[in-house]
Amino acid sequence: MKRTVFAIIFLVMIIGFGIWEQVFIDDVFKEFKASLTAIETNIDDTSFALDETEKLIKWWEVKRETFEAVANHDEIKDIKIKLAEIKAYLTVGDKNMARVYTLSLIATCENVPHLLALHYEHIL
Amino acid sequence: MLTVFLRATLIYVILLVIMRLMGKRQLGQLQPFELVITLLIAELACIPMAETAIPVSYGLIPIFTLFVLHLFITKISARFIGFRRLLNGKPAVIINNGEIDYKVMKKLDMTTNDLMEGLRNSGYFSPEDVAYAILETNGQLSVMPSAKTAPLTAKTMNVEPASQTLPYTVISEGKLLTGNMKLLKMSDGQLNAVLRENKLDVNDVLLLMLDENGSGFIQSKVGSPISININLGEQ
Repeated sequence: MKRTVFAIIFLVMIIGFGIWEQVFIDDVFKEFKASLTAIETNIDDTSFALDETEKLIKWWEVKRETFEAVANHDEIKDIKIKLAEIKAYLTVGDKNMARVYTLSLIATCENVPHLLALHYEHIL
Repeated sequence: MLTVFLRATLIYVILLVIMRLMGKRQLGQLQPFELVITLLIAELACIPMAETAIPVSYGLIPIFTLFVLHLFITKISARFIGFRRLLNGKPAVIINNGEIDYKVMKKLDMTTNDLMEGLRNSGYFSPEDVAYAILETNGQLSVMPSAKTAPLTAKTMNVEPASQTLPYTVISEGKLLTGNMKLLKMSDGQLNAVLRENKLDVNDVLLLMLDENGSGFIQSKVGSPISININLGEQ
């Protein structure tokens, strides 16, 4: 009886944790993509883009900690570096390179949730 | 490095809990599906232990999943004989009434070397000493000796043996097991009398065992075992 109770608890925890993880990943990268899109759209307004980038860096620092506890670090390890590069390019006034890296990160925001989501090709 | 140390400790503790929950059979003779689970758990535990880029949950969740599956399969096996046969197979009679069944051996890809090894492990050095030998589903060979070589029992001698009782450990490595004393209805006075007689203290005793008839033995940490007899009825 004791083992059955433990088994049910573990099963509920695994399914609950799995659902939470999927929702968390989706929500974080949706928000991330929205912020990056706003930066890319307003890249000509360097001061605004720089402010938004700095806010995004702080936001990502908080989210990253939870991510590293639940997902493979390889998927997200470059994000912080790319954000720092966008900030650097905006600081020196190189809008083109800033735009390139922003678009690259937007693609990452579309790719990572797909890699970590529940799809049949990942099961097989 | 500390990360790896802490991960290994965490995974080890959780594995202990899971193996304990899975039950004693995991530690003893394994059925095929239990062997699979045991091997898998070992591999899964290693994955996040040394690789810090992988979350600990990537190793633990599969382990918990295997535990749940194991329990589920065990429950179904217990309920349905057909499922149990499908999962574990059936025992096979290799020696039947003193005769080696070569057809069954061929079917199991078993050689006479394998058979002899199994028999020797059971204490029999010739098939003619064996009436029946059964290859169990966990790979063990169970042997029933022939009537000529079977050990004599009180039943075969038509003798009424003395009653058998379970021996209990009263002191183990200097620690008194009061629960077993209560089961034996042994008083502190009786225990102290035994210890005084042998000039020992509780801490000096390696092992003191008694059965319900009051027979047993005591051995100190530095001495030889001594047989003892107490009248447990008296106080």
